[in-house]
This record gives sequence, C-alpha cells and structure tokens, in this order.
Amino acid sequence: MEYIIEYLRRNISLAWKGVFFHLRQYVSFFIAMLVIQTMYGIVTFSNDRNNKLEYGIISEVYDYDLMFIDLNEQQRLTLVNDTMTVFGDEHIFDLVRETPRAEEGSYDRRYDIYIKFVGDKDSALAEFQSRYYDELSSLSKEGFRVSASPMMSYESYRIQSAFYYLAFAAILTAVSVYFMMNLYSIRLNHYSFTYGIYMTFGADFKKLFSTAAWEMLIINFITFIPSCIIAALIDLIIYSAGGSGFTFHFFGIFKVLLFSLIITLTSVTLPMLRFSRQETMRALLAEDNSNLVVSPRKSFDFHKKKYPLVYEFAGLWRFRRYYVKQTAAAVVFTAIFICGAFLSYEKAYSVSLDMPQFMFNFGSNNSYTSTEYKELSEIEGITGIEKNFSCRADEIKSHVLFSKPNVKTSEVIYDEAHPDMAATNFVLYHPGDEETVGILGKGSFEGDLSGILSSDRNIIISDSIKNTYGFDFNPGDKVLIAKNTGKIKEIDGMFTGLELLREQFRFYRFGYEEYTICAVLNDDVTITGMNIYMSDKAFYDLTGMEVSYKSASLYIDKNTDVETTRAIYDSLREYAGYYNGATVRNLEQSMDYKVESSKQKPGTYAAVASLVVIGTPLIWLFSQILYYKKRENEFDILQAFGSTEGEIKRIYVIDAVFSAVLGILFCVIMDWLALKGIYYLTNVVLPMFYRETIRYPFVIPVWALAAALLLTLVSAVASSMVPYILYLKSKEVKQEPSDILAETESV
Amino acid sequence: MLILQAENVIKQYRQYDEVIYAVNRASLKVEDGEFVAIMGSSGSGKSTFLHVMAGLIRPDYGHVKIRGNDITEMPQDELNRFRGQFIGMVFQKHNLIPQLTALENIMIPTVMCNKEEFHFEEHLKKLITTLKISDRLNHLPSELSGGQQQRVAIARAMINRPQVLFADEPTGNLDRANADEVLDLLLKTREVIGQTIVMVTHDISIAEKADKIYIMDNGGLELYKDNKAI
Repeated sequence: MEYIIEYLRRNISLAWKGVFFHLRQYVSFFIAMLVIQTMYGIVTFSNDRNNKLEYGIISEVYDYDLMFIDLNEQQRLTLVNDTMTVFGDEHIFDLVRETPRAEEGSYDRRYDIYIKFVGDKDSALAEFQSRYYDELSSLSKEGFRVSASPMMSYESYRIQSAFYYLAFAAILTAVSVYFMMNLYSIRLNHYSFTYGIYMTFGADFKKLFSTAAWEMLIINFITFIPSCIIAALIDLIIYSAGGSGFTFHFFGIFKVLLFSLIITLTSVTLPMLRFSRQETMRALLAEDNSNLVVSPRKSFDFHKKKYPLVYEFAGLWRFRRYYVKQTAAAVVFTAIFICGAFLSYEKAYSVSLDMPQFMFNFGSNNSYTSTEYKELSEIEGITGIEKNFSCRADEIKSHVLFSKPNVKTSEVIYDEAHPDMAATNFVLYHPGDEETVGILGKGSFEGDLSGILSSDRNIIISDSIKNTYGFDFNPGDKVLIAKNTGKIKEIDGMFTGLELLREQFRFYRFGYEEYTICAVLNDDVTITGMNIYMSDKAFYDLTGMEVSYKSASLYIDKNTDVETTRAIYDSLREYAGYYNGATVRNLEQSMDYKVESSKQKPGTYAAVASLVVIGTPLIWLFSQILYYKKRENEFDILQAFGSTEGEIKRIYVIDAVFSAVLGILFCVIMDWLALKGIYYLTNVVLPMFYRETIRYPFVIPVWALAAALLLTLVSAVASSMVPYILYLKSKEVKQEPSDILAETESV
Repeated sequence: MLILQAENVIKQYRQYDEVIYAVNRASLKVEDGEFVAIMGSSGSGKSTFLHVMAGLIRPDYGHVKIRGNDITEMPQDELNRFRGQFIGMVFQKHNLIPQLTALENIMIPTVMCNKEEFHFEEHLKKLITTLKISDRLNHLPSELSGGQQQRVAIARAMINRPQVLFADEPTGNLDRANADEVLDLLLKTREVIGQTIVMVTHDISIAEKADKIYIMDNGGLELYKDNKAI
C-alpha cells in the first residue's frame, strides 16, 4: 500500500510539474481534451436523451402488445371475458381497446382487439399462447390473425440504439485519437531531447508511456467536469431550440470519462511506441529543428546556387516535408467538419421528406380505379394517394440502352452489338396517367411530365439507379427499350442482374423501340434500379400486362397526433372490409417522423463537426509555435551577421503566405474528396446493409465550405504571425535590465 | 574481471555519395574498476565510439559487451533498461533538462529505472556533498554556472551507482581550475562508489590520471600508455 501511494505520489507530482511548469506547451492539450470530452458529452447525453424520447413516443403509439385482427364475435368474447379474471396469476393481460366494424355482405361484426400483458412480457406471452391460441383458432374456420407491437421486442431497439451509439463513438474515437496523436507526435518531435535523456538513463517504453500517460491523465481530469458542463449546455440549447426539451442523464458522464480515458491512453501509446524504438542518440540530437530538415544540399541545387540568395525560400524548401505534413494534419479537420455538416444536412433532409403512412392492398381480385381514389381521398386525414403498379425489366427479359455520354454509373454493361450504347436491366417500368403525373409533379424534375399522356413514345425517367445518381439525362434525349423476340438457347437460372443481361445478349433476340425522354426525375428512387414511366398503352405493349393497380400508398400530415392516426387507420380498416382480401398496413411514418425530429440529430452533428474543426488552428499553431521557438536562435544569429528586423519579419510573412496557399489548396482537395466520400458512403455503401428509400441529393454545404476555407486561411496566417509576435515579445523581455542582471549573475 | 569489451566496432555515416568511417574497427577491453581515457583530435571518432559503447548508437559492425551482455544485439527497450541499471553517462554539453531543477535532473535515473533494492536518499546526500551542489539543488539549469551544471550532470550519472560510467569530455567546457575540480570530484566519487570509468578527453593532463590512455585517430583506436603497468 505504501509502495502504491509512493508510486502515485511520485508520478503525479512529476506529471503535475511537467504540465504546469510549461503550461504554454500544454495549452493545446487542454483545449484538445476539452473539445474531445465535450464532443463525447454532446453525443452521449443526446443519445441518452434520445433513448428516453424514443421510448416515450413509441410507447404512446404502441400502447398495446398484441393486436388481433378481424376477430369474430365469439373470438372477441373469449378475450374480453377473460380480462375480468382478477385472481392471482390468472390475470395476464388487459384489454387496451377494441374497434368493431361491419363485414361486407353480412350482419356480423368484426373486431380488432388490442391487449397489453401484465408483468413479464415473455412469460405472459407464453402463457397466453398456451391458454388461448388453440381456442381462438377453433372458433373460426379462417383461424385468427395477430400482430405483435414493437413494444414486445423493445429490447432489440435498445440494442440497435446502443449499437448506433457505439458505432458513432468509434468514429469519434478514431477522430479524437488522430487529433491527440497528432498533437502528441508534434510534442515528441519538438521535445525529443527530454525523452532522449529519459531513455539515456534507463527509460523503456513502459516508463516513457507512463510518464506521458500521467501527464495526459492530469489534463484529462482537469478538463473533464468543465467539458461535461459545456456539453450539457450545448445539448440544452440544441434540444430547446428544436422543441424537444432536454433532461440530463447522470450516468452519461461515466461513459464520457471511460471514452476519454481510452482516447488518452491510446493516443500516447503509438507515438511513444514508435519513439522508444528509435536509437537514443537520434532523440538527443533533435534538440533543434534539424530533424525536420530535408536534404539542404538539394535545396541549394533547387535554386541553382551554391548558397541561397533568397533565404526565406531556401527555408521553405529545406522544411518542405514538415510543411506538407503539418498542413495536411491540420487541414484534415476541415474535411471532417465538412462531413459532419453534410451528415447534418442529410439528416434534416430525410426528416423533411414526406413518406406514406399506410399501404392499402386491394387483394388479388380487386384493383384501384378512380372510384377508389375518390373514396380514399374522402377519408378524413388522408392527404395524398400514390397508386402502385410496376414490372421489372428482367422479369420480361427486357432491358434499356442509353447513349454512352448519358451514363455516369457502373451499373451497366456494354455489348459489341451496340458499340455506342450502355445497357442495364435494373429497371422498373410503370404505367402512368394524369394522377401519376400529378404525384410525380410534387417531386423534383426537369421537362414536361404530361408528355407521356400525349404520346406513347414519350417516357419519364429517373436519373438515379440503385439509389444513387447514375445518368445525365436531358428532356429530348432518346433511349432504346428492348423487347424479347425469341431465343437461341435457354439461359441457366443461376444468372441474375447484369450477368443475366450479358447472357441474354448472347442467346436471346431483341427488338428495340426508341422512346423520347419528356421529363427527368431527380429524386425518384428505388433500391432495385431505376424507374421509367410511360402511358398505359405503351406499358401494355411493352410488358403485355393489363394495367391494374393492386396497392396504393396513403399519406397523412406528419404532425398528425396518435389518436387521429388511429382513427384514420380504423376508417381505412372499415373501408378495407368492403373488399375481399384487402389489407391495410400501418407503416407508422408519422411516429418515425416524430421520433427522428425529436432526436435533434442535425443540430448534434453540426455541433460535433464545429468542435472537430478546432483541430485545424490548434495543430497548426501548436506545431508552428514550437517550430519557430527553435528557429529563434537561427534568427538571432542572422541578426548578429547583419540581418535587419524587417528581413526577419519577411521570413515569417513569406511563411504565412506560403502556408495559406498550401492550406487553401489542401482544404479544397481534401474537403472535396471528403464530401464525395461521405456522399458515396451514405448513398451507396450504407444502403447495401439496409433498405434505404431516400436518395440524398449531392449538395455542397456552401456555408461550411466557406467557413472551412476562412478558418484555414486565418489559421495559416496566425500560425506564422503569432510566433512572430511571441518572438518580438521574447526579445523585449530579454532587454529588461533585470534579465540582463540575472544572466550576468548566473554566469 | 573484464567488464567492458568492444570488438571491431565500425560506425559509418553516409553523406550523399560519400561514406565516412567515424569508427573503424576499434576494439577495447576494460577491467572492472579501471579508469580509461580516450584521447584524440576533434573529429577523430572518440565521442561516436563512446556513444556506441554506451548503447546510444548502434554500430554498423562489431559487438560491445558489458558484464558479458552483448548490448549491440539487445532490443531497444531492453537496452534502455540495461543502461539504466548498469551504465552512467556524462555528456559534454551537460544535457540537463531545462525545465527541471538540479535535484529533479539528478533524480531522473531513479525515476526512470526503479531499482527496488536501492535506497537513493543516503547516496544522494553523499553525492551532492562530494560534488558541492547541496545549495543549488532547487535551481534550474539556466540559473547554474557551467561548472555547476557539469557537477549536476555527474551526480545524475552516478545516482544509480552504475558499474560503468561513460564521460564525454566532461571538463571540455570548463576552465582549468573548474576542470581539475570536477575531475577530482569524479574520481573521489568513483572511490566512494567503486566503478569503471571510460572518459573521452583531449586534455592530456586529465588523461594522465587514468589507468590507461588510448588514442583515437581516423576512427581507429590504439593503446598509448598503460599507467597501471608503469
């Protein structure tokens, strides 16, 4: 115990002195740690808050555990009578509500019964199944239909939510570790002499690591509480502004502490490991900036002089690797900032989209006509109807040929028979009438949508394929649509997609019809391919299928409250009762909207991105201040040999201009690549893992890009001019009489 | 007993197309408790050879054994630990850490290399008394004179009672009086601790106090004088 106390005392004392004696060296680490912990605080506290909000909204919508659909009177009574059981564990469920409706062609009534279990849901469900399922089945020749609410499996929601939090935290950890590692590497680079002395007198990796880690831990603990307070305040502002209300969950601070400790320890491990593996003398020799110099002789050769006539340029060239590495390390944070800004935009965009609340399926013997449109439109609360009917190109052995200049996707193949064309069978053909044109008109498009009504040779086409931008079409462009006319040989059933099309080119015969694009849809997406709309007649001619809409997507106002949504659903169920085999599926988009809009993710992403970008000035300034501190001796020598103060200032100014130009160049390139990368990730890669139904437009967040460029410019200039001001100040201080006296005494 | 053995040590540096042999097939054997001086003109390679023997630089060829352990084959981490246990180093330019006080600089080896069986307090008192720096312990290096800084560097090198002390021109930056005083202190301390000293110097009067004097020239090493034998 005594040993442990002594060990802690010595290490903390040494680290404390190390940090506070040269506080200026560690200011960057204090700021960086404050930023990192604040980011974690924002994300963690908002995640805790979101879980609470989500549970509240979902449990309000799903106030039941099981929903029995279309029960007859006897089945209903079986359940309703048993809710009156009050003795002991006999009572396992409560009746939440029941909705009766008339049955077409009968005096009987049908009921939807909603029940909620008492006590543990799993054991209650098992008991319920054994007690009632057989009986309910025996009371009707059709048996019974039951649907479980998400509340029955809410634990899986929690796991999903925890997974998202961990995934986001992992990304944040990677960024934070990179941030801290960069700072620590700069520190190691500039203070390698001190660590070299430690190595000379026996310090191995373990010792060097513990020395560094203790210093970082002290910083970590000092910034922890302030950063948690700042994070909570930022969350409070974001949630209050969004109208969700913010409550603080105390347990979150332990998660923040845990992650910040992981980051602290990880970010010193790698730089220290690399450092400790080097020869001790190399560490000792890097007392000046000589370790940052690249081939000075080559720099002279570069100027075609034996000695550089423009000293400042020679300096830039000698330290070229340092400048490039440092600029890249600093500017990369603007790229992360741009990604955060883009994600914030995407989240806001997805929340703003209108999605169908119900899917009405008319059954195999019925179809959607203008009568149904009128009747469904009259149901109170229904704000939009979108009828659905389509045919996949590969199902009818068809495909589409596009002119090569139109094609911006790899989801196509090229066939020798059509040298200037690209082909794909990832196509959905849709019939279209006035109603379709009206619905499509609500989206983003170019051209004349009603063109398909005036000519059977006109089509409306989407410019995306598999949920991502794929074609550069203009109204008036032509495409060829293939119709199978025969075959040379049957194709193996194992082929799908473009491989199937390749085989079809070899063994099938096709006739082609030319169609003119009358309108291009910009936000009409399908995960399986691209959409083409044409007149009913053209659709029939191509597919051989009579146009018969079997389902319709129904929209309601996103802000509709739970009770009204239930009433609309009940009305639709009532209406469905008039059609044999018709069903209504509640897609709960209104609930999803409420959940997503209450989570305030756009604000959270924007806040985190804005904090990340602090890395740019921080790394630049930290590195340059240390770099110039070591060059001050060089400037003193230059002045001793006749350089004027103006010439010294010129070195700083030229450096500032050079850093600014290099920084802006890096910023534009890196931010553009990052933007493209995050767009590709969210529009192409991630949808491979779940069924994404939104195609996000590629938008350059102009305000974020402008902010990134401005910050880069200011940071680059400041990174040279702040050290210059410090240099001037240090010269002023040196000239104080007391300092001269002190220097004389020490000698 | 042989405590230090360097065999055919070669250390070369490449400067663009030119290869410079800083140490060229240098060999040295040192008995336990011996005081060996290596002399030579500037640029003769004596500091590089000393740094190779102390394990601060890896040789390109050859081996260095201390207490029978080949330090040229040791992984860097193990070598650092070994140096902390058995080797002391005094640099020509003192190499004190500017932000630490004299006492903290002296204590670095005890912090970096925990010898569990070792109690440094008594030893520290002896050292600072012998080296006459008791009243300067809480000063920063910038507040000390050159001689005082060198004494602090010697105290730092000896605090862990290393068996072998390497000193790279420890008196090179000092005037005659200070140089003699520092050397006397070094030898006195050596008597207290009982250790082997390998010192690089270009001062013949200092080298004369050594048991053996070697001369280094163009990277090669030769025995110049064996005072012990005389």
